[in-house]
Amino acid sequence: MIHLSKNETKLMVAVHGWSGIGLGLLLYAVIFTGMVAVFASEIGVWSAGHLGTRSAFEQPIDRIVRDLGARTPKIYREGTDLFEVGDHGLGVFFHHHETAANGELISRGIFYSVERDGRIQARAGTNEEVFGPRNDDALSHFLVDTHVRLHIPNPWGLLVTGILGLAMLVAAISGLLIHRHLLKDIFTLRTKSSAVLAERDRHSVAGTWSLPFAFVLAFTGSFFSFYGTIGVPIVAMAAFGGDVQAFSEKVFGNPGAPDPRPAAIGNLDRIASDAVRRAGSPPTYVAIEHFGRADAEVTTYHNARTGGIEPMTLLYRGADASFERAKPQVGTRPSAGGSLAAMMSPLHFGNFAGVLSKSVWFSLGFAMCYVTLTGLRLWLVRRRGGARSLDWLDRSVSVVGFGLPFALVVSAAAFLVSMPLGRAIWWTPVAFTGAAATVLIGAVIAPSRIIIDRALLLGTGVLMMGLVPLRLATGGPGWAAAIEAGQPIIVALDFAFVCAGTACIWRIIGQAWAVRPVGTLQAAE
Amino acid sequence: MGARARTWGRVMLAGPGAIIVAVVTMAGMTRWIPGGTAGIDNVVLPLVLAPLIWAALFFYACLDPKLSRVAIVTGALLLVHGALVAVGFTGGTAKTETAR
Amino acid sequence: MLGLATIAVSALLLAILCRGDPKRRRSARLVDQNTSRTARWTLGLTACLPGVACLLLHETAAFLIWMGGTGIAGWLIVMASHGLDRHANARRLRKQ
Repeated sequence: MIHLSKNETKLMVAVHGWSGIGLGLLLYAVIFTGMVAVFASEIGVWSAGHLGTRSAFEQPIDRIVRDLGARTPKIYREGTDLFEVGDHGLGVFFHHHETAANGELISRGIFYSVERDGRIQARAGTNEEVFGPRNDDALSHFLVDTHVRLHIPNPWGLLVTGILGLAMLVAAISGLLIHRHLLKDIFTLRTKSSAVLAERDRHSVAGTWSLPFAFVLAFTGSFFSFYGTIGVPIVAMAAFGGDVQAFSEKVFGNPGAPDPRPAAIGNLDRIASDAVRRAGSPPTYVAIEHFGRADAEVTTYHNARTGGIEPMTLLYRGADASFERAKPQVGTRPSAGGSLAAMMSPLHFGNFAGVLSKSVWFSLGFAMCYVTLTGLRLWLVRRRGGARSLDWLDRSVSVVGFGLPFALVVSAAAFLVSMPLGRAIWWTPVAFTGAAATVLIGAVIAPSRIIIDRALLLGTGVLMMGLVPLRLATGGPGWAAAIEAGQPIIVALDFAFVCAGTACIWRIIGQAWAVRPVGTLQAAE
Repeated sequence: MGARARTWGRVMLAGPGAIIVAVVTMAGMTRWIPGGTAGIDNVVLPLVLAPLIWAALFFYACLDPKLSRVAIVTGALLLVHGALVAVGFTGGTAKTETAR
Repeated sequence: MLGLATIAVSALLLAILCRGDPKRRRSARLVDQNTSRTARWTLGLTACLPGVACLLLHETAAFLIWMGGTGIAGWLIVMASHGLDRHANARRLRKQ
């Protein structure tokens, strides 16, 4: 498609291959967990058995927030964030902003978690310290944290995933450049040919069909990872003399004449119901600036309207709860930069059109996992029979490629068992680590890579099918209760796990029936 | 210049060179991009475009057959944007500072 | 719904393109019933029209769903077509 010279093509092949093999396993882990994290909130509902469907913002919150504000030190009322926690409970974070020693803008304050039954838990500290996993969202939290920073502490975890995003960007662009007959080859799979050709076709066909999104997801992913770690400090240094708070106020704040006179906050229930009416959906997040002052501002953040992708943001005067205007998510009025920045989230998370867009994004994530895995196999198959044995790398690809899904399913099973006991925060990551260690040991002692692949695929399939009876046996809601409560997602995910488990087992049966001559390379599918 | 030296030169320009120039360009862009209708384009656009800036520099360093041209172009970008940032610190106030 | 409808239309056209693809048919050792070059380009461009329609109607969400969904549909069509070719070849070999 794009004709490069022979030397340029050789260089691009080297760039594509070495960036892939160097970072491919970690990149696969990020892509796979990202694929699963598309449905993180649905998995949270399914795993914890949440039956509530009414948003916390469609229930009275005014009294609770006022009471909490009254008992919170004034210093922490600079900003107040409201969002849902658990089964449509309310999280309220009173905080002020400060710049940490490393230049990062952090929030410090008191986080209140208000359950639906009225129980309140309070934690004081920075945003990093107070927003940890809860017992009922430990699984979804674990999935998201694995994807966002591979459980490496900030800022290093974000830097690692940012670099992996750039590696994916390089792979996507170099892949486009080296593939001379992109459109001619787009429908051709030659799996009966040599192992190299078979893997090459599998890799390039899947890669070609998912190429635009590989580019978009790599670009938006690295944007998110580098945004707070490198981007904001650099831009704040250049444009605001290093004042990150000034940057934040300029880009996200609502400018106006300060008025520190005390004034009770306006009726938040009125704001919430008005916001629901205007936006057509309850807020996903509410931010209150200067709680308890005459210049208080309330901003409600909503999902995009049907047909659009840009999230909606509404601004209210806090003192009298009157509607001020609809504003863009970034900036005080619509702008090119603001629109571009606001699009990064929906483009990366695929959550702009509910289950439909999430399903498409999930499928694209699956395609990209397939591309990464077949790319690694292709690199290895090309070098089979070489002077150095790469069996260790071949096994590593199996360990990560099939071991990661296996370990995640084990952690899901552990969550289901430990959540009713209040121990999910501990057991979810521990089970994952234990499963990963078992896979690693098995991979070292297994006679061949094929056996590793089949054992892991079989194990994943059996476990996925077992998740449904396990969920029910550990007190999860039945199908009738879920549908009656208006949570069909629980039924849908049960069904999805059974289908996925069946598909894994079917594949093993299919491979066992297929006749393979001795010595032929078993290409990864 | 020997082939080995040329290879290393290209590796340095495409590797650490591209990173450094991308970061400095991102900082310098805050000085010349117009603020736009909301007065924030000059700080938001560099942030959003940063991965693409790096990728463009990386692939340019890989694909331009003339290494000297790569060095000149990336060097010029580094100097111009570095100077813009330096001027902002030493001389004129930042465009966005006037809005504070 | 618009997103699903556009994916369905494009997927149908891609399936036709796939069945008549010369390189695919050659590698699968199928009878030469290739679609002509003009027909392939027409089908290919027509398959893009639903996405263009979404853009013209300012249906950004539907456009993104179409783009992603059509990519996945295309990949699945290739895999399914490959499977069908293998069965057809196996049947032909058994008859010989």
